[in-house]
Amino acid sequence: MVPAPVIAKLREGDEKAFRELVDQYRDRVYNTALGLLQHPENAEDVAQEVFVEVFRSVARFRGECSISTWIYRITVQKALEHIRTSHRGKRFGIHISLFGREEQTEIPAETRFYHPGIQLENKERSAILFQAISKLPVNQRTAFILHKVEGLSQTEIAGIMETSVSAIESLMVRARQKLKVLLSDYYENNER
Amino acid sequence: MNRKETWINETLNSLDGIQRAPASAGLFLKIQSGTGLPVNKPAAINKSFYWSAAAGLALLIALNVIVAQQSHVTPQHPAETPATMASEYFSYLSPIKL
Repeated sequence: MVPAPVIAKLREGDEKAFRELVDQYRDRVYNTALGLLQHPENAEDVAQEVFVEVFRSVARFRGECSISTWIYRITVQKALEHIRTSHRGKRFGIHISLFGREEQTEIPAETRFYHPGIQLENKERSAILFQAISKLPVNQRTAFILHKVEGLSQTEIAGIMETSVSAIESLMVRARQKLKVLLSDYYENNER
Repeated sequence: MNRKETWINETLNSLDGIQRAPASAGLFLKIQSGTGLPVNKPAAINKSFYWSAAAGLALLIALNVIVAQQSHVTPQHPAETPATMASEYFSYLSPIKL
């Protein structure tokens, strides 16, 4: 929780206060972006964009939510912008593959994402799970990542996504159902 | 629960105990460049450091001069010339006085 005097200093453009804020939230922002993007370099780019945005718009922050919620919200927005931008490029690639070789149904192992914070015995399974997560609709993916990777409560996630707790519960249930379907397909094709 | 369902549940739970991934140490520099905040300059070196370095260098030079001068001092023993060295070497050729 950032004390009110620090917020006041941030609004004045105090560099020391900004540095303290970055130190406090840097890993949270990076980890959230990493979970959503599954790409360390892109996650770092997003983290930079987030703090630049925070620096530039903190004067307009009126305290309608906690500064933590506000920063997470910016992080999710920037990460999803990144995903939308990269998907625009990929659509062209998908059209190319329709005329070429048969479209692959499985992402090759070398493009799998291994989150550095996963316990060793869970590395391979979590990489398969992250592949499935990348196929979820954006809202389900966001709620799932904020809960499972950042460890946020449904109440906190509801504040970040500006929706109700019941809506978040519903998103989590649907995300889990969808993941089970995706993992079932994966199991049938690879693990039997 | 069959093997497939067990596998699916284990995979769904594979993020349990996940630790937050730390951002790289260079991230703050990137943020500074994006915000236009001044990058921290290296701390100014104290003037006394320069005086200490100069004194140390002077001492080193003085020691080298002293050592160089001592190497030119005449030794106690007479310097050996090629002639004296030769006479000693070939002394076995001198006739033995019986």
